[in-house]
Amino acid sequence: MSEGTVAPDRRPRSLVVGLREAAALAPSLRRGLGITLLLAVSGSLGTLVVPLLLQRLLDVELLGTQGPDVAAAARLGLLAALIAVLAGFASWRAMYRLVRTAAHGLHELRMRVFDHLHAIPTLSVARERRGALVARVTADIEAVSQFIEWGGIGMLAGASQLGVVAVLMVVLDPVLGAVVLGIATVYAASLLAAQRVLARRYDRVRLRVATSLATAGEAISGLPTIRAYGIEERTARHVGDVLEEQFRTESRTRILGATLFSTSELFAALMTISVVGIGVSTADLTGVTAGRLAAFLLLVTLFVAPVQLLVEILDQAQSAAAGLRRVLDVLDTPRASEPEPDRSRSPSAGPLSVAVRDLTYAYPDGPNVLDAVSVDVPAGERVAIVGRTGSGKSTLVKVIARLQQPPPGTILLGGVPLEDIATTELRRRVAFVPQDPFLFDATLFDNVRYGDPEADDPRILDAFAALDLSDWLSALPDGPNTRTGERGDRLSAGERQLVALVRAWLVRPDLLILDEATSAVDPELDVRLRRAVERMTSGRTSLTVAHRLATAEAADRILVFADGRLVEDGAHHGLLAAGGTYARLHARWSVDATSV
Amino acid sequence: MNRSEGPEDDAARTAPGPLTREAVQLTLRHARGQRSAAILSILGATSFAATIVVSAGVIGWITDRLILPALAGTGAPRIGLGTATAVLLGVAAWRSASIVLRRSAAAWWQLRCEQALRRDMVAHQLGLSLRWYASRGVGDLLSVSGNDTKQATGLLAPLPFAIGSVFLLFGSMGLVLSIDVMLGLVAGLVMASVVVVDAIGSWSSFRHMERVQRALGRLSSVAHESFDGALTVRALGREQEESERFRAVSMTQRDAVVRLGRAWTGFRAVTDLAPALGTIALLTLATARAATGDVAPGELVTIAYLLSLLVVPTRLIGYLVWDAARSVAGWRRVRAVLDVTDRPTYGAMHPAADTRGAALRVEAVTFAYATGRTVLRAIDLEVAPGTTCALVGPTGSGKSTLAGVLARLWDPDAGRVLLDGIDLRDLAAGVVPANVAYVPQEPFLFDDTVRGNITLGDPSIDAAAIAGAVRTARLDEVIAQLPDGLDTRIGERGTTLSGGQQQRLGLARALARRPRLIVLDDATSAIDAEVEAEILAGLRAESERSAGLGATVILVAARPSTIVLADHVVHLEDGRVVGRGTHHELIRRSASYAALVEAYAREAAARPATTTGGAA
Repeated sequence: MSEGTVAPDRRPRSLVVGLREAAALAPSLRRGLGITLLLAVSGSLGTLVVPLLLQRLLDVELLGTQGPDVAAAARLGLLAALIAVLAGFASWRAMYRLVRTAAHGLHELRMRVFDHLHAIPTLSVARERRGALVARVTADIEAVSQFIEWGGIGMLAGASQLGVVAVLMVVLDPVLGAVVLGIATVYAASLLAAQRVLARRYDRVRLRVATSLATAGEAISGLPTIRAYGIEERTARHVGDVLEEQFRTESRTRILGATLFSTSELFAALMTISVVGIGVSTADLTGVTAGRLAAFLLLVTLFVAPVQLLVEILDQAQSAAAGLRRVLDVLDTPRASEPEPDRSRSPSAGPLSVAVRDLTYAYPDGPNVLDAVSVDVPAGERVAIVGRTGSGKSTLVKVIARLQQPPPGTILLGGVPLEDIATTELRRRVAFVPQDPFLFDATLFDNVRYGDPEADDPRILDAFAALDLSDWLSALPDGPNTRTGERGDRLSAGERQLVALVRAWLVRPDLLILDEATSAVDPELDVRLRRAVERMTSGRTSLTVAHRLATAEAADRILVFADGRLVEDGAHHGLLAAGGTYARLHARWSVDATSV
Repeated sequence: MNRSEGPEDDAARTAPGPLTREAVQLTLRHARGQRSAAILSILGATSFAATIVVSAGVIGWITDRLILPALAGTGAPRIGLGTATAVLLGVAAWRSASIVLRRSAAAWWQLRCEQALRRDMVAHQLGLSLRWYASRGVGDLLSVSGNDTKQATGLLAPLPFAIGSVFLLFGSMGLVLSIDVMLGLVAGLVMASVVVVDAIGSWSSFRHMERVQRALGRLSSVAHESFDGALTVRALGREQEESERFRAVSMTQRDAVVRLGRAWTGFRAVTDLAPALGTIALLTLATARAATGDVAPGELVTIAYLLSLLVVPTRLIGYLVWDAARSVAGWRRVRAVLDVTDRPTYGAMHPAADTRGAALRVEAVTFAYATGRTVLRAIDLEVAPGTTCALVGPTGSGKSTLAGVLARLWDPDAGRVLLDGIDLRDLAAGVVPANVAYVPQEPFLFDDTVRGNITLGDPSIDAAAIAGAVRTARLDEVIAQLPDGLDTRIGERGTTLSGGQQQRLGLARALARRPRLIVLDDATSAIDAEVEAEILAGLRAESERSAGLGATVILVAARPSTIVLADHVVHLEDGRVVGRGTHHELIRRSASYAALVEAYAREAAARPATTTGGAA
């Protein structure tokens, strides 16, 4: 899937920067973080109990001058156990708080992204990218969530353990502590270098994984075509090859990772050897005791463990950073503007006039789709818009319905600039019926009610009757309760268009916009529907984009578009007589529509 | 949405018993295919476990023989620093090697199994019936082959380490036992309790985890639906409602995550704490034993050191339980698809060779979709070789479904389709695609070059065949504008091409195979009528040139200009044939046909009188 689909190019954020920005957007992420940190550090103090106990037991009880005192040892043990329990409780609270904070914060972030995506005008254009958009609110946020829940807790516990152990080592024996920390610094530097190598390899792996998922995905989505052309075996072989590529790249990388990771054992051994060697050979100078040295050996293992864990989760951190980056990029994309509540104006009641003033419009990074278009449609006029595919006619009506964002001042509805009309007001007054309307996986009536949630069954039945669709409704297996299926796929394309028309009917708009809204229904039904729509729009303003010119013949006025320009404007007979673009389109259409 | 909940609900209800058995069976299945990788990874893990026990012993040994003599003055050191260094380095090298072996072999094992499972999955789906495929939902199937196959092999990652850890626990107990029997028993108790608490924690968290997964699935469907319908949502101003709808599922997911977090952080805290408490108890006890001389100080160090090394391995056993449960859930969904046997069957017959233009006969074909809507009712049809037949009917009359049945995308519920007198189901595999080309209204285009989309990888389609098909489908005009001509990549689903361009590519794909029967399901709807007429004429000329009689053509059409090109027309209504004949015959004979096909012409004829008041 293509990445950064709706976002402008910009320098990538690091995970830290990303998390900080996310915390600003979702305040829950930050709430109570100080306490969580404090709890985590208190929790890691518990790991110190065992080495310290060992030191005390060895130095004071076993090797001390008085000989072992079992009762004192037991008291010491009990104290240690108590501290361990308290520390365990603290780290449990820290873990739980982190999970809870992350869940609440990411929920907030998810809602912001979801709302934002619906407010981005391009969402309605970039059909093919919707799969990627879904990933923004699911997989990408999930990657961050998993990182915080697993990696984040590991990092939190590991980092505080690292700090606490380092402090204790230096306090216990500054010389040995300095030696261990010195070796750790060298190791950390070499780890970072290794991580950089690994990161590049993992980029290649991710690319391979994406390719093989896409290839397998095509094999499944394209099954009808694959079946029709009998290329099952070839497809399976191709998928197999791509999977083999993925396996080769991925296994090599994992083996490299395993090898790099294993070096931590050698560094740990180096620390142990240094502690023993330096401890034993400089004992006369430093006065290190056996108990202290033994405790140090334990501390080395406690010190190395979180480092190993951090190495393990670095990869997870990278994919979390990538996910977060994509999420934040979405939020960087400008949303469609909405007037300030106190500045919004409403056009006066009744049919809406439409004025287009010198409108030039282009999709991001594209050529002009509309070029200096100006037109005035008085209230109550029925206008047909025609032109060849790509002439800009569909874009014009989308801009008028504010499904695309026009430059300010270029569109006026009822004399009010489009950008000054509140969205709720706009949707109540203007109904837009697309060529490819979307049906939700619900009953037929629930889908119709999407146009007006308040509409009761009798009103919906009236709407069907008014559009001359009662027959069709009663022929459906479950009538009003027929399930329309995923994306309405249990209905044909033409039937989905019928549902969308009924929806628009319920809105009773002051401006009705039909964007090839009946292109998939059969001619007879099309003619019938159009008559019904004419009744519905009498006294209202309507704009109809049509590729069947029968619609144009019936309109009060026809706007003809070519290459983004308004080239002709007039009524049917006048335009025919003029012998221009419309006359040519109409001649072709007549050949189409009449067979004789 | 409902349909994907089934298997997970089962998993949630299932008691640990069957789940364990399934996990074992799944593991054995994975192990059978990759025996050496499995054995090597377990060997590596066991070797790693051994090094832990050995290194704890070595530390005690060094304490007794070097550290205590040197620092506590309990006699002369019995080993030198050099020996200690050599032994420690040796153990570290051994342990590194074990880690490399375990992790490499485990990665290999897991990745190989994942690859094999995904490959088998795709291969299996490629053979299933399209009717089953349509009933299942593409998104769902993608998720099974993409996520669930990965999940089903997830348990292999921690498995070798966990097996090694079991050895490690026994080895450790043995080591402590060899020091002191009582301490050994206590150590065993501590370790056993950690494993038990871990296992219980994982089982009980699994339930929560499944809820999280289910919530995530719902979240994804709502988002998918909402974004897919974005234009409709926006046009009707329903953003707020969509937001609320999404908020509800997002909150469910959030709460499920928090509940899961509460469960597993609690258990993890206990399993983190248990070894520490056990170590404290052991050390205190060991001190008492040392006081009586039963335990040496070095052995005390050994015990402490050993237990500090055991924390991670014991936790991994718990993770295995967790991963195994997840894997079984994924495997169940994979198996549910692998177990499907609804696949088209093939016979062994071949049509008589070398005749162009296939004869097509449809006898009493009835068809209903899985949703129960009957679309075709006892259809009879006969199409002579080399002729063109148009299927015409109102919206929803079954034309497209019939076209699919003719190309054997679907088998009829009753009745049969005969190609040259042979039932399609009796033809050998590959015969129907070799003879019949089906072109849908929206051809499925692969993320490949134009050429690749025409040949679909068939090496027998040579440059001449491609050139001919491209010319006939009028794709040459399109290719001329592409930067790399035939070798231009057209992107996912061919999104760089317009609807009409995509249709021309779909036609070229069909024609390059020189089919004997061409089924065009509204395949020229986005192409201008003039061009369409040229394409159809070219199509007949092309096949006639190549061998006497032209290909037989079935076309689903709505435009009169298209219909009139057919030799005869079959008029469908509500899944039945209601009329046959030439276009002009049907217009004369059938009022409903004429009303359907001539709706615009009639309207146009009526229009001037009604709307412009005789301005003409």
